[in-house]
Amino acid sequence: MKSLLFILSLLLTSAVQAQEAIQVIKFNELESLLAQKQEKVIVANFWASWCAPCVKELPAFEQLHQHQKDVEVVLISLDFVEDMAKAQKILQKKGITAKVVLLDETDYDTWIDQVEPSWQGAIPATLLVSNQTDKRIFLNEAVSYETLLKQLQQLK
Amino acid sequence: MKNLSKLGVLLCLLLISTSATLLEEGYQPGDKARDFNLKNIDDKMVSLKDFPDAKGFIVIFTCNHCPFSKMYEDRIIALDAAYKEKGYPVIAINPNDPVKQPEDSFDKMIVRAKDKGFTFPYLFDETQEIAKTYGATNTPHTFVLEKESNDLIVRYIGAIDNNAKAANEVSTKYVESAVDALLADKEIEKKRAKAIGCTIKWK
Repeated sequence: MKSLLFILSLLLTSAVQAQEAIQVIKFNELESLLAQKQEKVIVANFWASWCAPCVKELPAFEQLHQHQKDVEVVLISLDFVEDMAKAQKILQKKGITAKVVLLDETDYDTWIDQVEPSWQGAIPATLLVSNQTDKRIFLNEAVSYETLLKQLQQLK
Repeated sequence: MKNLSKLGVLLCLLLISTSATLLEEGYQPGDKARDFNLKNIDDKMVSLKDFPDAKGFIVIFTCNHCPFSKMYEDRIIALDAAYKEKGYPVIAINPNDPVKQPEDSFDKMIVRAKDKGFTFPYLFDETQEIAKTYGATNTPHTFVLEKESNDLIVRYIGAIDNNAKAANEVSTKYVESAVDALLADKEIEKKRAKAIGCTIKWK
């Protein structure tokens, strides 16, 4: 009975969470997010609801969020603000509890180079940042949980 | 002698790795572009040398399925309407692997071009060799080429304009400005502009 209640409460919280609006941010907020002075490595994944390979790899980032406590996962949706519901629906379906923000900056040429000069704008794209070792790794391809773990080792 | 041959091997390796990197990076503005011979939606092969009267080309890597490509379809048709007569026709190329993205098969290219009334060649880069050589990474990805004697020179690489979502809210038309500058024999102010897009579906 107790475990049933626990499962029910879990289901309820996740349902409530999924209905919450995704935080909409501007590029300067993304910059401060990536520059946070902290021990945790930041794994920032650029995705969108319309990008099939992005949606497919979301569980790998959720797994990272659940199992690697020294990592802070941030899923950065590049959906248009008007399409936020599409992104929310996917997050709910995939049971994503990691931090999600929506980057509302559609004049792309003004900021892509500042994330990574070699990035031409194709997604999925993932940036691993260690502000302790000052190392960065940029992956412009779909990634697995295992790949992410391997890349995290390189940051240490 | 042994050391010398070792040095030779090292040099070879270095050369191979440099050329591999160059290949991966693709063209930069100012580079010579290669011509191609790709199958059009009418089953005929198309090369840039088939357009002796053109002053250059607006080569756009695009596809059927990508929402960003779809948002630009009408604008690509408008580009062809505005610049074909002036000597810069649009050449659209689908570089995607239809095994990975069935929406981008050759048969579906024919359907999409008919539905939208494409006025330009819509070619299939089946081996993906042209996309790789040019350095296309996402769709849509534009390369403006200018003919210079017998060569094709890359003059602009990147986005069509600075607002994918709303054509009426665009404040900078990168491709139009680039071609206008070429037609007026002026320096192109912005030779590269980036935009979010769908990754090319590589084999």
